[in-house]
Formats: sequence, C-alpha cells, structure tokens
Amino acid sequence: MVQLRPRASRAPVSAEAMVDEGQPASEEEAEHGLLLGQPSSGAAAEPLEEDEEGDEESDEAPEELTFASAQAEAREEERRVRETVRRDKTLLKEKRKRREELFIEQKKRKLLPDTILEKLTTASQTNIKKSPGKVKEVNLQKKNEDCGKGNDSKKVKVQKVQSVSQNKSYLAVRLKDQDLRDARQQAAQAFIHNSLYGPGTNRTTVNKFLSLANKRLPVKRAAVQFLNNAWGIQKKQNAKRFKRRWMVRKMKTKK
Amino acid sequence: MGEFKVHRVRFFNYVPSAIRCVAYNNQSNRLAVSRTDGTVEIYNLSANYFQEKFFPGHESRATEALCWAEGQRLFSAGLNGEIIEYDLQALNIKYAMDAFGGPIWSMAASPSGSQLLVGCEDGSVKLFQITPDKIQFERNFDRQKSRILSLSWRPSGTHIAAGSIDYISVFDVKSGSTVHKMIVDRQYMGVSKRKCIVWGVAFLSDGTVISVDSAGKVQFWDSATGTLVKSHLIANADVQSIAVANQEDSFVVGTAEGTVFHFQLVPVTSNSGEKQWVRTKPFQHHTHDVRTVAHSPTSLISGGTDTHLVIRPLMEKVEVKNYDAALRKITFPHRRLISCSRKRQLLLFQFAHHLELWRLGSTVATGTVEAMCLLAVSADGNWLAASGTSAGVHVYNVKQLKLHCTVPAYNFPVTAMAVAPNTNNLVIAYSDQQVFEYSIPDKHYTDWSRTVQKHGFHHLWLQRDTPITHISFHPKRPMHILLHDAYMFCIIDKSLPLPNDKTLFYNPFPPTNESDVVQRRTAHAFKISKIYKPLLFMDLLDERTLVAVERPLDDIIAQLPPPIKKKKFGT
Repeated sequence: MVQLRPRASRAPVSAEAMVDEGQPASEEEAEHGLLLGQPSSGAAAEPLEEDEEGDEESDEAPEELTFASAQAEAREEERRVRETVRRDKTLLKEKRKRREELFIEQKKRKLLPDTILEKLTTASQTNIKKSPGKVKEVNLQKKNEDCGKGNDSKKVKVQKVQSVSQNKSYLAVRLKDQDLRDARQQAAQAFIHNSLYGPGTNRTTVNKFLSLANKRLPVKRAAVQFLNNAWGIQKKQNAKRFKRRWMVRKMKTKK
Repeated sequence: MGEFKVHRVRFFNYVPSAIRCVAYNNQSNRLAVSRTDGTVEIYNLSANYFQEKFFPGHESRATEALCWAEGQRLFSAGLNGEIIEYDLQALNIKYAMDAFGGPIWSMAASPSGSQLLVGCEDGSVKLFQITPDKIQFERNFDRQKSRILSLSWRPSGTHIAAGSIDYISVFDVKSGSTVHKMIVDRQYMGVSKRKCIVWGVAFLSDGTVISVDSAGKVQFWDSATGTLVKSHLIANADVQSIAVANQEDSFVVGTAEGTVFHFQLVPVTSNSGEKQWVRTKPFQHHTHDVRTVAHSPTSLISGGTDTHLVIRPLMEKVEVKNYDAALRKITFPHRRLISCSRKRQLLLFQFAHHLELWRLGSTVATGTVEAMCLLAVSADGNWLAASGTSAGVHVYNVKQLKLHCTVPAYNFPVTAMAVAPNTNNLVIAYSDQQVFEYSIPDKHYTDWSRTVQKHGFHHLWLQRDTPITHISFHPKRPMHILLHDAYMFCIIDKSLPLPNDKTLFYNPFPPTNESDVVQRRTAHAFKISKIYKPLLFMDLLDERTLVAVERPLDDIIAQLPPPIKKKKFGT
C-alpha cells in the first residue's frame, strides 16, 4: 500500500471539520493507514515548503506556528493579492480610456468640419419628400424599405449614402459602389456576348455572308471584300524600312 | 437649270447603331426605338413614319428593355441597373432610379399601366408602383436561381411568366410566389451542351404561355397545369423576340437569321369552332439578328443588329390598299447630320460623340458633343426660325430679340427649314412631303405657295418614303429651291408651271438633245435627279459646284457584327 503524503491546502481548513471527518473515516480506513486528518490533526495546515525546508536543512523540530498567526498571514496574502488585482484593473481602465480618447481625436480629424455635416443632415431630412426636379433624391428611405423586404444576401449590404446640399448641387457617393456596379455590368455584357457570339453559335463573317450571293450567280463573281490587306503586316513594314535605308545608303555612295 | 460640278463625298463614316428594343404605343400610334448606344428615338407612325423625338444616349445607359406605361410615359431599363423615365415634352431624362438588383434584363408594364415589373440579374423580380411623378418600389417576388431574361403579364393582371435559363416560372401576382416552374428542353428532341436561354415569353388571357428560346423553338405551355402543349422548331438559330397583338389572334417572332415569322390563330377546318396556332408568313427583310419585334393593329414592326427598322403592314388588316400598305424600311436618319460652310468650303459631320470638320481637300478633326434642333437662320442674320415639338414654327427677330410671327400649325411635324437669302422667304418641308413657302417680312404664305397648295403635288412626290432633310438656295437665282431626301435631289424652279398627275414626273433623259418645243411641253417646276443615292446631304457650294455626301449601304453593312451562317446549296 502506497502511503501518499496528503497535500496540505493553502486555505486554512477549520480544525473542527478535520476532526469531524477524521473520526468516522478512521474507523473505516484504519486498515489502510490513510487517515485524512493525520498531518493536520489539531493544528492548521502547515505550508509544504516549510516542511521540506525543515527536512532538508536541519533536523530541528519544525517551527511552532499557531493557528491564529497562520490565519493572519493567509489573510494578509489575500489582501495583497486583491490589492494587486484592483490596481491592475484600474491601470487597464485608464489605458483603455486614453486609447478611446485618442481614437476619437483621430476620427474627428478625419471627418469634415461640423458646419458642413450639420448642413448635410438637415438638408437630407427636409429633402426626403421633395420632387426630383428641384433637388436630387435621397435614397436612404428606399434603401431601408429594400433592406426590410429581405433583399438578397449574396452581395454585401452596401451603405449607400447619397446626400445633397441645398446651396450647392453635388452628390456624395462611395467609389466602391461604382466599381461593383461596373463589374456586374461587364459580367452581364460578357454573358450576352457569349450567348450570341461565343463558342457554339453558328456565326460567319460579313464578307462571307455577302459573297454567298456572288457564288451562285450564273457568272460567278469574286467575294465582296476580295483583297485581304491585313496579311503580312510585319513583312511589309520590314520591307519599307529596308527600302528607306537602302535609299539613304545609295545617296551617300553617290555623293 | 445649268450644269454643275459635283464633289462626291463618300468618306463620312456614318454607321448607325443596332436597334435593341421597340415599344409600340396603341393610343398615340407612336413607336419608341432604343439602340445599343443608348439613344432612344420616337417615331410618329401616323405622320408618315417620321422620327419626331430623339434622346441622345451613352453606352453606359444602353437599354435592355423599353416599355410604355399609362399616360404616355416611357420607361427604359438597362444593364447598369437603373430604370429611366423619359420626359417627352422637355426631351430629356426625368430621373434614373436604381433597382438594387444588379443589371436589369427585362421590364414589363402591367395591363392597367399602373405597375412596372422588372427582372434582374440576381434572379429577383421586382414590382414597382407608378406614382404620378415617380416610381416606387413595392415588393419582391420569389427569388429565382438564374437571371430573369423575359417577363410577361397575363392580360387580367393575375399572373406573370418569367423566362430564365433552362426554365420558365409562372408567378401569382398577389402572393408573389411561384406557381409553376416549367423546364425547357435544351434542344428539340435531343441533348445539347449549350444552355437554353428563354429570350421571350408571352402570356395570353386563356392561360397559354408562349416561349421562344435559343434553340430555335416556339413552345406553347399551359400555365394552369405547367405542362408543354405544343412545340414548333422554326429556325436553326436563336429565336430572340416575340410580340402578341392586342386581339391575341396573331403574334410575330424574330430569329437570329434575320427572318420574321407570323403566327395566326386559325380555325382547324373552315366551319369548326376549334382554333390552332399556325405559322403563316415568313419575312426576310433583315440580314442580321432580329432582336426585337412589335405588333401594331395593322402591321408588324421589327428591328435588329442590321440597324434597319422595318414596318410591314399586314394586307388583311389594311383597309385601303394604297401606297401606305407597302413595306417601310427606315435606314437613314431623319435628321441632318452634316452642315456645310459655303465660303470656306468646309463640311461638318456630326457623330455620336464627336464632330469632324473636313475641308474639301484636307481634314481637321475636333471633338465636342452637339445637340440637334431644327433652326434656320436667314442669310442677313435678321431672322431666326425655330421649330420644336409644339405646333407652329416661330420666327424671331434677332436684332430686337423678340418673336416676330408664327407660321400656322400643321398636323405633321417639320422635317427641314431654310430661309432664302434675298427674299427672306421661309421654306418649310413637312413629313407628309408638303412644302410651304412663307414670307417673313409680309407675315403670310407667298403666292407661289398658295398656288402649289391649290394645285396639289404630284402623286409620285407624295409617295416618297424618306423625308426631306435639307433645303438650300442658289445665291444668284432666287426662283430656285434645292432640296433632297435620301434617294433623290430636286431643284424646284418657281418660274416654271407645276406638274399635274398626268405629266411625266421624273425626266429620264437629260434635256440637251430634245427640241425646244418638246422641252417646253414637258418642262415643269420639279427637276429631280436620282444619280446620287443613298444621299445623306447635298448642298450648293458656289454657283457651279455642288457637294453630295453619299453613304452606300454596303459600307455600313461591312462594319456590322457577324451574322448567322447560312448554308446554301452549291456553295
């Protein structure tokens, strides 16, 4: 039977509890030799290090520590721990507060001056019901309706803010919206081009189409665009360059 | 008349843009046509098919759908995701409202005209309420998986058919939920790798849905059960458009090969009550894709990538079989795009986004955008005549900056105006081919004009189908008026007698070899030449020189996108 040295807990366990437990347990576990109350019978639990230290350094008897002093020490420890935790918390709080202020400052610097913002917000509120002939419309209300109806989920919910000013007639839009729209428009155009002129469609060139009639005439004629002037462009350019250089050389040798 | 040297100009590289949508308005008999460069034109079909209003456009506003709503309001929607309303009085855009669904592919106005339905790229169908001054979003219908390419209302307003890729959905308007989803076969009785795009749907009042798709099929579906009733394979290429008549007894479809088919509801046997849809007439008036068709009570209208607007009156619907029942093909613009400066020998060409200034001999290019309006300034700079959308031509005194007089209103729009240099007579040409001369200083029509009106024009003159786009005068001969349209130019000599219906109108031979007697007998005021055509512009440079700007059709066709291949036997 392995006799395990029971671990003494840090918190002071009340002596009465130990005694209570010890009595009924002792009857059952007497054969095992494992008595819970053994090392701390009648006394508060001693810190383990002191036990060990005592064993290693000298063969002296362990210190006599009263229950009260040990309890007081433990309480001191607790208080110290609580103090440090509180200090840490307050430090963190202060740090966070300073950070927040910094962010607010930066944001303020980024935004337009207050005067213009005020004008925009008041103008948008009054212009929601106005006719479009005078002032450009505000899409906020309609966008809210749209979102409410459960519009599609695939595209990102774009916060489109179109606002106007009563004095100057300008429109503030996000550039990202325009890019999205362009990309989709191009995809749609590509779809139509593919389905009408893409692979699998039976298309021919205009030249061949118009020349079909010429082929069936009693006296067969040439195609509508018989010459293909687009062949051998590189060769023709090289020839032109060579001719120019040759002429220059000829002029030089003549002189 | 005299002999002239002619500068024949063919380098004006004018390429009209393809027609994308047409919309016919029954009450006012007007046709709205939108092109791929964003321009919208309004044609007045009762005023001899004259283009009376023009909204210049931009590629970013290219339209995919056009429709009329109640009260003569015109709406268009395009791939930039916006619904645009046009102001037909002020000739500008009233407003553009973003639908927040991505690119818009289709739009339909409700039969009552008070609601607008829009089909978007993300598969949502959005309902808008048309308020007196704007449109307002009402609600979304059930969202579908792929883009909604075509929409159609049931005439009773209770259901909607929406065509998408590989399927058609039928919605109930009140609840906004899908009633049926009808799957379209990719190929007629076969399998194909390419997706079947349903380009057009039409909902009839008895619950039949007609769909046209990219496999070349026209299919009839029953919307009550969601099943296919009949399938017609009519082309090897896409069938891209469909339009149903108001009485629902005929409809027209346009294909990518340029063919337009007419379907009619015909009784099975001569006295049975049972009727069936039969393909009756094919028309091949286009060389490229027919992207849009419309059905007016008496004619079929089609337009597409080859830029012609073709109006084909149906013989069984036309009451009087006269020249009005012939085919109308509108190819060339009804406005004048070229101006000429006589002294400096310069020509100004107006393109969509820039102007080109050419010296007859060399070239200098500039770039601005110009708006077009019908104005005429007198040669001495005193008078300015302006015609707008309202009736009557107003003449203003430039020196005193006030209105001088107004020419009485006429029920047809003005196509060309000019003020004669010495006599200050205002010559006006209307879209029904009538020409009036009004004296500005005297504030009444001239005697010659009254004689012409009493006498009437020659019937061949009235039967020309392109409007007169330019009038000019000879500086030394005040009795001559030079005017032209797309296929002829004419010099009117006011001193010669007027032709009546029996005289030979177009003189086939030049009057050099004939004897004097014969000449005097056949001579009449209208000297017409058809040598230069198709004519975009003709003017007098100086006394002995004319400039004629032509635009051969072949040059335009050479710059169009590729058409569908046609297999012909023996090639």
